[in-house]
Amino acid sequence: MLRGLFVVAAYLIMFGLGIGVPFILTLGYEWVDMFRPENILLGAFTAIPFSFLIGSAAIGFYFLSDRRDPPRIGAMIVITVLFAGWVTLTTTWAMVPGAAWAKWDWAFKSVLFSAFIPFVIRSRNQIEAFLQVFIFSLAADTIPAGAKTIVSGGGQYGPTLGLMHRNFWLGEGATLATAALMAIPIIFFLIKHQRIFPRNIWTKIGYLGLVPLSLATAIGTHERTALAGMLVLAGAVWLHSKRKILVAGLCIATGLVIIQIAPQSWMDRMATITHPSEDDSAVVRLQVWAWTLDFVRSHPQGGGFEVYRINQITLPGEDPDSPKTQDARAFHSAYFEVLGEHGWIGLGLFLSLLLLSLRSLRQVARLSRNLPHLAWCRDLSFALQNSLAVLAACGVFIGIAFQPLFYYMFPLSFILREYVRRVQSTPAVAAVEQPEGFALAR
Amino acid sequence: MLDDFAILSTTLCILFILFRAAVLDRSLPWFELKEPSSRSNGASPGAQPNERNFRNL
Repeated sequence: MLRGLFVVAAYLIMFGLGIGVPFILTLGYEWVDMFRPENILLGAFTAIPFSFLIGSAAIGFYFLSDRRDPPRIGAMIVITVLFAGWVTLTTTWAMVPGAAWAKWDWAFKSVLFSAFIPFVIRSRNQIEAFLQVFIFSLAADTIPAGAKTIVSGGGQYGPTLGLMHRNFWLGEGATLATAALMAIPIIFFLIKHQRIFPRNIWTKIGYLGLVPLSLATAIGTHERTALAGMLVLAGAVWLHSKRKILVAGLCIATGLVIIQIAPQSWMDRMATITHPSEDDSAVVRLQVWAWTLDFVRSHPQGGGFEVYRINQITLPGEDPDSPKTQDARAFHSAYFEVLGEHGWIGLGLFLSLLLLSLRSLRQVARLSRNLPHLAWCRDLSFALQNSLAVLAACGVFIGIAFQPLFYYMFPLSFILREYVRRVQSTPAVAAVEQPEGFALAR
Repeated sequence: MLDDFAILSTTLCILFILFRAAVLDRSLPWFELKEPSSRSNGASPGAQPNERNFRNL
């Protein structure tokens, strides 16, 4: 009860702060979307339409009071809107209409709201606030999950140690691990460039404390996807680092520490990676993916949301003459999820968003090289590339195609690219923007 | 207990972030055309008016 009252009071304060300031309401929406109060609270509090109210208010106040310097209607926004339209169209011919419209209801909002975010998040201060809210909303799950893992030596495969105790969003272990690992590069960016909190040793310790908690969260889920994510994160950080030998040494040392302190149950779970034939969930994945490829051969336009519910897969049992049959097994992959549900066109649009995000971030890194006033943009582009690499890699093994993670990374990369464009398109900045040596030569 | 601590501490942090972001949004330029330290030294007099123009668009 007290928890519910506190969360509702915080929500109302966010509304109060955001009256007439749509970017604050957008940050409030981001918190609701990540934290999911309706899934954490109990009783009458679950009936409050938290995200609908604050999301509508953000859009409404944008049109009423703050349409300054909108972004270009570029490929990212156009494809996002097309994708939102296409997933609506595929829902009209969905194979499982009831479940499809239920998923459409939240998935459509996630996709479409991501096209709105670049209109309200434009300045450096707004970008940083967006990142801070992402990290601290996630920390509501990673602090307890990480601390419980450190204290108890980890949980067990299946139920998560976070706030949500249902198999959805951050209540699902692999999704929680992915989000926790994605947060690490952003935390390091904030340590270096944040301006919202006072810059002192205590703030730095606070941020640094979130890093081991995030890693412990990923380990505590006992998900093999988390191990894949950790390896991809280490590779991406090494690739973007200037001091490659030092970073390689740090990554190896972190890996050795994890191996030393990780519980035996985690080691046993990871060992199943090398014996996929003995593990049901790996075989199920492969069977569902094969079913999806077969399904889109006859339904290239996709079968609508939740189409996996019609699948039936056969697993090799202990006795080869009596294989086990299972129905309605989930996709366990963001890419196969989009392919099965929205066909080749849907997958094309989704991959286009992913590739465009990567391209935008690489452009930012290139355009901001040797420009001191854009150094934070370059660092953020590397941090987001590392986070996106983790998300894209873990997305191979979890059905998170319509969860918020992708739909925050896509607009963030576009927003950063737009920020650099706005700065560089200012005539007066031309002289300032030259590398220092060049400017002095003039 | 730990869950409640996490909810309390992170939600308070987020409220602080929103409050500070709203305050800074009024005081900081939207598009920083040079490093804050060089601005305080009075370099590039053209930058400030342009930053204001962005805000007033």
